[in-house]
Amino acid sequence: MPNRNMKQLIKDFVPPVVVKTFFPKKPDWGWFGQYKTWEDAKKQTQGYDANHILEKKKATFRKIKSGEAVYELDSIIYKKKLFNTPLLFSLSHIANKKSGSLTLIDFGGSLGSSYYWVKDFISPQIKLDWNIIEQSHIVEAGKAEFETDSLHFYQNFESFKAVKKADVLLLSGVIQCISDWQFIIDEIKESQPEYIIIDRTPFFKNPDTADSISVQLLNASVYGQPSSFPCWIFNQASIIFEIKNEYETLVDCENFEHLNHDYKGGEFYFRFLFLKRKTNL
Amino acid sequence: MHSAKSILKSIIPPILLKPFKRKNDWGWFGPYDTWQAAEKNAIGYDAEHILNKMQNAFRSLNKGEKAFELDTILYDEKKYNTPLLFALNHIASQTKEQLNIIDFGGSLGSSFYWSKDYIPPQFKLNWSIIEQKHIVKAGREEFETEQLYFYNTFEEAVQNTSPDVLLLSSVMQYIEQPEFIFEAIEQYKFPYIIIDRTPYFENPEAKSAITIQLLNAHVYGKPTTLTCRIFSQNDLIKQLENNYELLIDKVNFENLKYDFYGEQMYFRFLFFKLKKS
Repeated sequence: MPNRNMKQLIKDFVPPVVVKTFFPKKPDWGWFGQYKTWEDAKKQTQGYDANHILEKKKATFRKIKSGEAVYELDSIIYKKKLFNTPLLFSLSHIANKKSGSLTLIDFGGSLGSSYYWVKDFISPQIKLDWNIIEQSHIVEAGKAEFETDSLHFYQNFESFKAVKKADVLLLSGVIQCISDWQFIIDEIKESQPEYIIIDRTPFFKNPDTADSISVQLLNASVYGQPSSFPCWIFNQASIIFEIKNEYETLVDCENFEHLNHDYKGGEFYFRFLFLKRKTNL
Repeated sequence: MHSAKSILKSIIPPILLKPFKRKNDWGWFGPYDTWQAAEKNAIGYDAEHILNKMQNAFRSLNKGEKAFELDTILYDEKKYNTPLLFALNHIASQTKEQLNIIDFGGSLGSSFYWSKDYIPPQFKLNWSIIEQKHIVKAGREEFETEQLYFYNTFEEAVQNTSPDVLLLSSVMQYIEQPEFIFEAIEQYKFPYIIIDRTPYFENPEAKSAITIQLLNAHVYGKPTTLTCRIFSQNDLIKQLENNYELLIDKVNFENLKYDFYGEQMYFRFLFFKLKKS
């Protein structure tokens, strides 16, 4: 307590400019810089150790799969469940409209974050078929250890489409991590899934701010060591611009974490979008 | 470019600026020892005036002039109460053809209008609002539809339906003695209960508080106060936990938080399911 009081006293009596000069805060996470190209941003990152991250993920998901831990987010384990209600609503809404089965592609779905968030909330009458498309080392780990009757792993859209057809394409926290994400839009145009869910994706609040490339810094609590990656922050109309005539927006809101951030290029927030293919095309 | 104001703010010790801070024209004030003590200090509200504002708001919502209503304020853009939308779809998936909702204190249909287009059409939606007499009268005269009905009491509301869910949205905090609601829960054994938009202290040690809630003139056209309880973490849950399982516990869709004299409060969404006996 005395420490807290002293801190408050300093805060009350010392001009903020003095505090800022002598005790500069060095953020250990956040979004930094505005880069012309993805390559420029990449040069500024310290990179990341893919193997180390995979091992951390595997250890986490072993606990989730066995029920030893109740909740995972970005490979961090939490004591209490968080509820992604925009996603839960969308999937239960789709399940209510369909009967029998629900086939979903979770592009960039790690070892099953979104899957584990929702699986207990989908009515048992619905046969849930959840298909993660990921990088080959994650797919390999997924197939070896984490596949179930309802959770499957694929390396790309082609290998999935060779055997199944999806009702829903889920893009959670992934488009911003891909340099040239246009191939996802091309894939949507080609396979025309009935529903698209874009979750946990950063967009500028100001509709006039253009797409921007930043470097995202994660602190050590996430992967055991500081990591950084290039990261897109999108204009309001971006991503869905080319498909807006084919899809109507059912839900457009802040993501379940209500995550907002004040970035050099403007204030942005993490958005949730639930889209349905128009029927009268 | 820094404005003169922001430069001053950065070089003046913050404590010297405290007297110049604008007084809030909304918020929660108190606490008071009793409900009566709070009411004595409140300017209260003009029920007729509020009803007029409500009627006007729902008229323009019905005409499609505006997309969204919240606390009688109209918005051009929709907001999405996804915890509520999820809960109702989840319940629908467990029922067969109907979805019978008892909405206690549901005004002229705020939650109904937020939800109705998101319940798949194969479910016959039957939304019953229980409200004060003057609201029920206005509701029956002008706002009833094939899906939306108004009743004065629980007895009336459950007469013709077997309810699937009891919705308590932004209402428990305004009731001095909520025992009759728990009695109704005991009697009708609602399969699900939703408590939405209800203020709780974050700190599990904090005790519940009786306060005066001041709404600014923007809401009802003139400053209005309500006596309002802020609940402790386990309030309402402990009365239900013997018979109900808590499925969802999270901050409400608006992510509304407020600092009540150093004690952080937030608006909560709770979704309960009746345990199998």
